[in-house]
Amino acid sequence: MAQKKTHRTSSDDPEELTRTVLQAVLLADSFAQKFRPITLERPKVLLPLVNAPMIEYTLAWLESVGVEEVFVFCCAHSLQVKSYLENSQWTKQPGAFSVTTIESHDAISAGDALRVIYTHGIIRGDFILISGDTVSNMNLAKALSEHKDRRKKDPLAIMTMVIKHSKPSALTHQTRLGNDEIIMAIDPRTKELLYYEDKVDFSQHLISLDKMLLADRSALSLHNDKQDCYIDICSPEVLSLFTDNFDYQHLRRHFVKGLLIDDIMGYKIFTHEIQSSYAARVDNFRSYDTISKDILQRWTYPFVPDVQYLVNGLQIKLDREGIYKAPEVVQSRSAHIDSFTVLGNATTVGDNAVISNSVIGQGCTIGHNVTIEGSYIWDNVKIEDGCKLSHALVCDGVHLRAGVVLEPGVILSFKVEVGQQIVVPAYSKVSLLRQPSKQDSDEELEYADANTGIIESPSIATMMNAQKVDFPRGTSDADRSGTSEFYVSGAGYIWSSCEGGNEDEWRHSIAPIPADKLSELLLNAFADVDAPDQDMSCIPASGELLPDSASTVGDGEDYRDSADFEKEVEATFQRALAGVDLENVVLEINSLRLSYHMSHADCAGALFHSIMKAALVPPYSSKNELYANTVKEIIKWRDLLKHYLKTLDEEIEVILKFEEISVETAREFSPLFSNILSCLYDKEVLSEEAILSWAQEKEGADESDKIFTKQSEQFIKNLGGLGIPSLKALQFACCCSIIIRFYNTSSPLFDFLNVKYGSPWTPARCKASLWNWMNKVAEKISPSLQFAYTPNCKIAMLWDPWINGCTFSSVHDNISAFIPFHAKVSDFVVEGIWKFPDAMNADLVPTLNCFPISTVTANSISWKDHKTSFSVYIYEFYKGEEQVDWFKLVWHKHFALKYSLYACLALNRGLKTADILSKRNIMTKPTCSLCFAQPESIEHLLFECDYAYSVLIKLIPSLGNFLLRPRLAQALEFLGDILDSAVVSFFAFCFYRVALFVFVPGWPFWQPGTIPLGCCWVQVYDDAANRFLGRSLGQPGGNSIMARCRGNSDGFAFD
Amino acid sequence: MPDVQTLVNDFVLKLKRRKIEGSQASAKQTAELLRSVVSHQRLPYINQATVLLDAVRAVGEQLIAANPVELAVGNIVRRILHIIREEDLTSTASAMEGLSLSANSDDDDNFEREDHPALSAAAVAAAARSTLRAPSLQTLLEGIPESASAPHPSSSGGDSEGKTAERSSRSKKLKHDVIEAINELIQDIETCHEQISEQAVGLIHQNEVILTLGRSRTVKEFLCAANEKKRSFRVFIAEGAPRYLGHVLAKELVAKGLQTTVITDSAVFAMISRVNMVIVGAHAIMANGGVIAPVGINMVALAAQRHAVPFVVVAGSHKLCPLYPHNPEVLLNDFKSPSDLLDFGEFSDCMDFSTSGGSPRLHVVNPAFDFIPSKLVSLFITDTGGHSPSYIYRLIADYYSADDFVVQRRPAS
Repeated sequence: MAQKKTHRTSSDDPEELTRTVLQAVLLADSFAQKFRPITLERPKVLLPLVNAPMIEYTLAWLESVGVEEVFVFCCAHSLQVKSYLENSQWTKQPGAFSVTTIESHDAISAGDALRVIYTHGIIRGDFILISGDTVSNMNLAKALSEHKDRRKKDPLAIMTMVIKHSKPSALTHQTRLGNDEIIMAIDPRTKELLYYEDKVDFSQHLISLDKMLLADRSALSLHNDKQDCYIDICSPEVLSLFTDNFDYQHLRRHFVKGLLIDDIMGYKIFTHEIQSSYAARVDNFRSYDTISKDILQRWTYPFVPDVQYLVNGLQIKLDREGIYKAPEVVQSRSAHIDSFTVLGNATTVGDNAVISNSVIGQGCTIGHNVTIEGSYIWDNVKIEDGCKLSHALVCDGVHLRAGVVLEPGVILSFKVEVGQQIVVPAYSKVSLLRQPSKQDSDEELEYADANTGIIESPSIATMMNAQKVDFPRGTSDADRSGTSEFYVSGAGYIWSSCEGGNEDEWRHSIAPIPADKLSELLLNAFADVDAPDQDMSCIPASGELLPDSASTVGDGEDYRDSADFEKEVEATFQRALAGVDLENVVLEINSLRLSYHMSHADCAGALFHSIMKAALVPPYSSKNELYANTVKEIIKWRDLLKHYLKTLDEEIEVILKFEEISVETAREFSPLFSNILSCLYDKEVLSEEAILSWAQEKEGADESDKIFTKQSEQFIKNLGGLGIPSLKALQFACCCSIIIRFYNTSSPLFDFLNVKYGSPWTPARCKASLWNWMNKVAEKISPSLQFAYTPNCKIAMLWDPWINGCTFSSVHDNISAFIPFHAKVSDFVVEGIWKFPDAMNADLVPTLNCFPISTVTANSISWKDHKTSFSVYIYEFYKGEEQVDWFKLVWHKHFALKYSLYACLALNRGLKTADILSKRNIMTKPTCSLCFAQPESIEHLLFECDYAYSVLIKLIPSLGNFLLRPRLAQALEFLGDILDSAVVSFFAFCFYRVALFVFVPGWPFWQPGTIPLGCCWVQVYDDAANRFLGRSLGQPGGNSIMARCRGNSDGFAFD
Repeated sequence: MPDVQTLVNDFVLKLKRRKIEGSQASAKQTAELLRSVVSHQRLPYINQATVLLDAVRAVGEQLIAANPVELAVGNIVRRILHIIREEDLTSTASAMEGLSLSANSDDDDNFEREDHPALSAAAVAAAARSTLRAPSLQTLLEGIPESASAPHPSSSGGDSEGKTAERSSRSKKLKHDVIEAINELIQDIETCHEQISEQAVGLIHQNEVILTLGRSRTVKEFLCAANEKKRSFRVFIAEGAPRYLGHVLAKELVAKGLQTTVITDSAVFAMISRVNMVIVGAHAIMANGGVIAPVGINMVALAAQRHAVPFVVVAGSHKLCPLYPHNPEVLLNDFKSPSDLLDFGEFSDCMDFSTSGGSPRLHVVNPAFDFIPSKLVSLFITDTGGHSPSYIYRLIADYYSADDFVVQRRPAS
């Protein structure tokens, strides 16, 4: 009573008269699906966090900071939330704290929720915007008064974000809560938020800030160690802003970024950093784990289990080492409860059970010899004898029969049963409910994808995958242990991972990141250390964004823009079809490009898209017709396309676009993919390098993306063993191509050649080097060719090897007597029948009669067993070459293209070492930049130079076994022999690291004249090499290695 | 009744949420709450005391469970239970006396009966009490005059009134007496600081050096009282990490004109040889004379024992707890947030469970209290005077009834 009275009198104070009731909006829906499948059955805010529903923590905090009116916005499972709140102490409790629920079923985002709240018109003053899964013990008073003071001075300061210092992991680039690292720029004086980016591309090693940020302030601090607590103090304007900008969906991605970019309204966002208090939001399973542990470590005091803030009536006792025990726990004497464990009310623990770092809910039964480590077990779970649980999440009512093993990261949803002796594999999610097919939640997913932009685009292939995995658990169990009599099968469906695939499971799982993943990350981190000196070169001097990266690293806005852009380009193209002049079309597209702020690559992509669409317009009945149409269109628009294919990037963009088209919009193209690709190559639209680097990019992609690389695998892989055909091969292939076209197509050029030289086999009568080449090539490929008679064919009667690979002149002597030098086969065919001159040997006639004569106009020359294509020609060139098995050391799928190119350049004498530069008349210091003693050459840099060799030997001790210093090719061959594929990638990593170190001048650690063998990175490699390679490389003796090193390295070096 | 119930729920919630800080505030508010419980309790004609006891016990059970660490709440509940028993005994005894008086009125002279009815009743009650249990020093000394001064309106049982009227007056009387006694208790709690600090002059002498740790209001009043009496002495204050309330105390004492030196907790042993007396506050005094006090004081007590420095604990009688401590370092302790000790942001990488194999490698323990065994304490100063640790059990026997030691009864199993 007394309390209330004083309260009332204080609110009557004159200065307090203007005081409005402090309100809060609590979003009881996360509008995400990170907790699926659990959230299918229960809303996220009601999931227990250390045995109390998450919403309890949020409400208790709101109550403790003096909030008087809370509006709980329910969307998914709103009935459950409402009935929970009705039965809870919050609504029953009299006094200043009132909880009201607002329900809406069509809201799919936080933005929608706020718009609904705006329409209710209940927010009268500043309010706190919080999500129902936030745990905090911060004192809001200071932040609130700061916010109000700012508002008085500057009405545009509409929001205060609460942030907290927390270091992200350098390896995973995520915070301890499993969120992505956030980059924020904050004015250190006013605490104004200037820049907010939660999706940073760390491979770029640079972020771009608007230089205007620094225009009117003296300092700006850039943080990556601030954690966004998702507690916002907002002014009512925030709601109206959401209503005005109806496309705002996400609080941070759209609203905050939108306000920061928008300088018309000039609204400002400020930050408030909390020092000693705690605030965090359960966003994913990783943060569920982290926050649970923080609660047990009492960072959230007083919101800890033994202080009865949350759960009614249960007096939990805290023992030493952070063991929390509810009353009526039945624990066997031999059970071992380890530190930071919670045992819920009426839980039974059997003999010899070991429980550590876990939270056990109420009414659980844990059998004998059970091991539970780092797991979260909710209420009424039955765990029978001998189970092993490690870092798993087990929901209410789950039944694990004897001997079940849950591997790290397993999620078992409500009432799942797992049969005896089953090992549930790591990161699997099991639910009684089937995984909904993607169509059900189409708009949500689409929305998410639109935002993530380049991160992921759902391909049909992955969806199909998802449904395939979706098999009933019971049947699979029965299959596996059908022999067991007492076997009882379980119940539940294994969900396939829905977002991001297995790749990202480890990031957000409850389980700690596995050690091998960490070491992999460590290696990547080291790989990245060197990357900047490559990337630095592309940072523009001014503060402007890179034109390419700005448009490709797109968020939602860009995505929409690019779609518009594509449509516009298509419209322009349609006009071009209608007969607008080519130059005008170029002009129009250029202006479009500028207005949409697109790069050349985008133009090329869009244009190509339009061309392919045009190719689909004419009717076609078969693949070949479609192909012909396409080729026609390509030839027609080649010049236009060429305008935009200035660099490799743009060409790659065209290939990617093509790939996208054939997967998504025009599936008709997919069977023709490689044909059209080689056509594009033939027509000189695409260059060799573009195709190869596209293939390289695709190597790392997942299976669905690989469909098209696989189709054209032949085209790429067998090229000379190294990955890139030599110039000779290209020349050879070109000649082949010309020869084939010489016969099969009619054009003035070929007619001219025909008249001038006869056929490629006709003995040369000129000095033209091209034709000489053609002759040589023709000789070489003649065994692979097949001739057929067609009307108007250009087969030379005497010289071409048309009679089963032999020329007429070789089977018949004294030819010139009755056949003219330039005679064609067609001269001897009249109306489809041979008509031989009388002087010819009669015994040849039967052989010649076998020669096929067709009256249809078709190809008169063709390749045996293959279609004619450029790759076939190149394959032909390398036919006699030895296959090497170590080409993966150079072109391994795990390597960055950069390193592969270095290696390839080294093998092909392409690195710009001093000797090669001097050959090109570029004067440099001729001595090696490492030892300053001997002339610098590739071989010297890698092996002859004592320093480099010592580094190499440190990495790979067995390289020291060579009698003489090896050459690069020898070393590779030697390594290729002894390495198994798992080690290959690591070796190559080290190797290219060394190569890079050696070849990049101005390496930061390196001082002239000193040999930094003691440098820490060398030690790292040293350790790593010992760990990964010492075992497998230490064995072979020197002699055998020398024997294995065959000297022929010229086969893969260009001349 | 619902009115009281909401009050009780409100208070339970406050206790649960640790919104009431400090023993004195908790004790006072508990007493006030129980007073309203008693005043709202409807009493039947028979077994009034039992009904009252049950009502208070039921509420007390909830209060104790709400914050088991704050022992003052339980102390006050037990005190009030004791008060009810006492008053019940008194009224029964007076009734018996009245009956016996009316029976023997012819034999006894009227004069005595009319002038000192209450006195005789109290005397009988005291006698009855002394027959029930061992006489306590306090009852012997204060019992008679105190009950004599208490107003006892018309218990003239000799008049031939209706039995119902007599009963109603009796029921009102019991309630009234209890409420009066509770009021006195509240008064005591409010004034305990003054009563304790009255004894300061006798303990602190000229030019002495006093050491204390952290901040206790009782200690502050105690020192200030000595200062006001023109004693000049110096105070060493150990800052009392991690809450550093010693700094606050230093500020307050300097404002009052005391010569103050602040030292770190770790310097206590170095300084103790210069100290004449250690005076500290307490969170609770257990039945065996052990003390629950802010963390760090056990170390001070050990240092004091090593150098034979008197170790004095000042505490109001509401901190006197009739329970014997069992594993007090854990069970009666409050573990606070580690953020007092460490900056979360700086250590956040040590607590990244994703990369540290899933189990926390960094443990931070931040207990609020120490337990000081009774053998380390030289003297307790409560509002009733100075007592040695071995005497505590007698004090407890005075204040509490042995039946109430266990307030919480196990549900019938």
